[in-house]
Amino acid sequence: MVAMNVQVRDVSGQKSARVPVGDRDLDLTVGQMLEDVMDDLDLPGADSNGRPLVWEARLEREGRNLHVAERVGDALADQDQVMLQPSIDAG
Amino acid sequence: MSDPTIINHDHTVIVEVYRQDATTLVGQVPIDVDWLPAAECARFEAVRRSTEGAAVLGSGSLDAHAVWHETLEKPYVSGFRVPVDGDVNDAPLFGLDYFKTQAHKAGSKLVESGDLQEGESFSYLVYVQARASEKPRAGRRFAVESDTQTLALRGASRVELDDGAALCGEHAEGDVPVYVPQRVLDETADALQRAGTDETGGVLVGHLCRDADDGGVFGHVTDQVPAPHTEASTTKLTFTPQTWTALDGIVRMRGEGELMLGWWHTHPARAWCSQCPIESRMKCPRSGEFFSEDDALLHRTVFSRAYSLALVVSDSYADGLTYPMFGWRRGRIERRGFHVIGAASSAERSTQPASGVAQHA
Repeated sequence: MVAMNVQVRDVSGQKSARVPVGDRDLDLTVGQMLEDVMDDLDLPGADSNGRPLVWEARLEREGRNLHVAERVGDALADQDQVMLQPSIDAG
Repeated sequence: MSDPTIINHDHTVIVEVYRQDATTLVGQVPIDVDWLPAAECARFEAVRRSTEGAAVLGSGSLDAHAVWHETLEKPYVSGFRVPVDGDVNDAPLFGLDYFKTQAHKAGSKLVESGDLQEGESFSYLVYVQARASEKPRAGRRFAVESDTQTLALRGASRVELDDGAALCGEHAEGDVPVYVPQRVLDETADALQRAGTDETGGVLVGHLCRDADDGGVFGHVTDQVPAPHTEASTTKLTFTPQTWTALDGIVRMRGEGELMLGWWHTHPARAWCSQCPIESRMKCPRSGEFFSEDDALLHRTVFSRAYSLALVVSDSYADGLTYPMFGWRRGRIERRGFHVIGAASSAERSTQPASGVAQHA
């Protein structure tokens, strides 16, 4: 059964995804959820040389960044919006 | 011609590198292909072909259908087609150029292994090999559902924008026309001056429009928003998470329904040459008119939609102040032209107007 729906989007507003969170997903971590979203939206976790990209996830309701180790059931509420933000260089 | 073989899920793509004579095989290197830009290009092509006032862009991967090499035949490809809907043979075609970046990396590997000389030119072919099973992916735990992006295409007239506009750079056939006010360029030039020897940047906001006369889609940049909370140096500009939070808030507060059409950043190339003798500065190949690997990664990561733009504001001893624009073309990031609105009225400013501006035909 779906306990809540969470909306995750990128910083440019070009991409977004809805995540139905089932009862059994509540014990999973925010990091696990974001990993699946990034995979779905085809957002890179590393550059072409394999160097990892740093991403933060901003929970708009609370105006704070989520921690990957947080439990989904503790951190998120129904209809929450999360923005995925990279720390990324231009050269 | 293309056939039902779909090569982006359960095939390995291999670059076959030849010496300049095109007959001596140097090596075969499997490559990781980023298929997303091709999918984005195909989706946007469908939008451009449509006549609707609103367009829906999906996300995620689309199937890439092999186009077999005419003479070498299967498993060599001359490209692939990515259908969004309808007939595969009418779908956008991507040639071997699509693999060029990865082919260069393959060449670098062969240089490292000593099979190719540093600086040696080479040509390449591409073939595909079926994998025994689809590339294993980490098991999904959440049933993520990608949303579509609805683009409200504003009704507008290119004829009106063309009046007094000048073309900066070269317009390649197939590129979406883009209009940028001279004022926006002037603001970025001022920002470059204020930042001194550091890079600076921001985002370009505006609208995608459908021309009232011919129904074609074009981009209209209405403004630039400087990026706060960046970390800058002479050769690097970091867009931090705090930067994106602030930009998102600013664009929303403008209340104009604008899209982030792209981004801009500066190359203070004069600063890069400041320690060099004056005579060598003018000949320095480090003009700022380039798009670095980092720039490309940022564009791919944040601005992967096919309409996205990247403006570089460069100031170098050799070329002065210039505004090279980059964008997606057939899934690759290429330099492109754009139209400067009100270019003539700004010609007398102390900072030069867009370099290469010619009266619009």
